[in-house]
Amino acid sequence: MITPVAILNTLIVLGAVVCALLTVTVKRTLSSIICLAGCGAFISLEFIMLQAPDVAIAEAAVGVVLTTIIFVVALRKTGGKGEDEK
Amino acid sequence: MKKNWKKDDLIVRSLADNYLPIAIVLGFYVILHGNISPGGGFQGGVLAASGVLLLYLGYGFRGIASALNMERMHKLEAIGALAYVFFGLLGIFAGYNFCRNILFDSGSIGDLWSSGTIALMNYAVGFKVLTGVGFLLLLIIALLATEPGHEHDGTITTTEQEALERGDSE
Repeated sequence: MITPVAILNTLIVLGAVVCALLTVTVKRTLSSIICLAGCGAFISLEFIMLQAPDVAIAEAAVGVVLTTIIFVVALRKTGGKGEDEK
Repeated sequence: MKKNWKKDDLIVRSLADNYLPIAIVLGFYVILHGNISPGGGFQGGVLAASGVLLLYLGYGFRGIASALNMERMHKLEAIGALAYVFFGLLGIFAGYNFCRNILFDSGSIGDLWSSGTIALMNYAVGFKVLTGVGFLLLLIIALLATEPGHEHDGTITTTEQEALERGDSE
């Protein structure tokens, strides 16, 4: 049976999978980092759908904010070109 | 996105001014109500510590360095850990095991002060995470700002154009 909750759940999971695929397929490293943050946001929404708001808050705070900042700073410190070595 | 973020950007600074109180109040709310609602010390501490990031986005590294003291924050983190151990040892002092709740009959179910020692340990964890993550963010931002050739501007400018310019200059 298709309920609105099931549709929303499916969309959230699809968004997480699409963001995860984009993370490993995009060329620029900065775009990859932002896609990883989007994947964390979708996973946080999925935690809310699964009745775990506690984990959702932790995921949103750590997976979206902290790891993004650390990756951006690491990218910045290591050159920031965001491309593979030729 | 070829335009770098300016240090004196009015929109970013206004957003930082408006969202900083919200982030801090939400973080302390989550810490204070950690025993009766979703969240807790860790989540609220991280939420409140993200205010450091908003301050950095609005005012750059100079504004942070003039507003926050890194050494003091590093020492306050140890005080948070000691407070957690102290509240945990209260159970042993009272004759029970570690982390035992010794403040029975403190409020009714659903009240803010209804969990005895657990709330105090939660506040200790929140204080430790707030100072620890704040110190971590400050350390990262200081590393970013003290990079050679980037002292003029402490904001995040990770665009291809600027990276290419920097690569050419080197």
